[in-house]
Amino acid sequence: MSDSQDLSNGSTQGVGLNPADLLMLPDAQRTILTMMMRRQSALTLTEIAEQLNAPSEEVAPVMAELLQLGYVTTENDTYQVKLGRRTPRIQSKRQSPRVAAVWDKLG
Amino acid sequence: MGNIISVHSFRGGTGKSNTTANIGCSLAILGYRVGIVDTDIQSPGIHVLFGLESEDTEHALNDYLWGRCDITDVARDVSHLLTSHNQPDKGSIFLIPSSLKTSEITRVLREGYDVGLLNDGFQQLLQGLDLDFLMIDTHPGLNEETLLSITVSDALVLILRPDRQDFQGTAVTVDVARQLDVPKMVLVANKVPAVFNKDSLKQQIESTYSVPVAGVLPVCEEMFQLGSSDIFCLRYPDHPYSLVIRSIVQHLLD
Repeated sequence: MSDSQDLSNGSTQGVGLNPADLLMLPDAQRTILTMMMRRQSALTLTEIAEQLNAPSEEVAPVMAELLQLGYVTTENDTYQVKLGRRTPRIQSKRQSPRVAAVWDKLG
Repeated sequence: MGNIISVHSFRGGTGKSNTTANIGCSLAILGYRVGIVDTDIQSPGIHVLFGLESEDTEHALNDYLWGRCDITDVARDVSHLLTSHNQPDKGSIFLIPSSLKTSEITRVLREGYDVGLLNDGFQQLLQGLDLDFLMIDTHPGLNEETLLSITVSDALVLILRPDRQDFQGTAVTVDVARQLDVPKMVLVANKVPAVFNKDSLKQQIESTYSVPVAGVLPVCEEMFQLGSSDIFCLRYPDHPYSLVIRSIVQHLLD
């Protein structure tokens, strides 16, 4: 079930899932995450496998990958999606003083 | 638990907010409890259709995202619009507006926010307001709010105009929605000139995207005259536009 693990460069890896990361992930990882996000509640490995009509043995390594990426958390044998922060559109360190002054004026 | 319906378009100016408001009110007329969230944080506007001025709202979605209040505190019950237009008040409609304050909009752009909080907020609205439907009015194009909304939705309504730029952009969004396994996706053609053959356009769109077209909404003079000052299908319930909105609602309910 698990595709090659294609970790996207520059993603929010380790700090939670940015929705944009979903489009960069291998199918197996994305399918699990979208299902879990739609279900909302914490799910056990067995429940995840049931939802996907897949054997638990196939799902388990993918969950381990997602755990390592920081896209899910686990507690009491259940898994939950961990979403990260929306990427700021303005990177203050790269701003010229003039641009920074404009933003300060606005906010 | 109620259903989440996202209304989206790849490009701006397609009539997302108007369509969202009209579908939402039509659902409420049928007796459903409906919430509408304005996740177009960068350029909010749907509150205008419901007669709210920025100073009318004590809290906005932004306040919830900054931890200043619960998201249910942001919800404004605008069900009075149904009765003021002589519609049955069986259902309810709530609006969760985004802030129009410059400082609030720029703060989102500068600092970002916890996307998980927005997702939790959707669920808290469904439960806290006992909603049958939560409609999400999105920012055009693809960004975090859009992708989150599409991902967690039970149904996605994609709006496009009969325009080549819209056609190309819609192809991108359809592809994204398929990747995100959206359970139900429908297209709505909006602002269609009277000279177009609606059946032919519907067939063309459906064959292009392999997605059902839930409705073909005509461009109409009355909509421009209304200028976002009211909900069209409440003001003109027997207008052809309103009839198409009702058929879109039926499509979503099927």
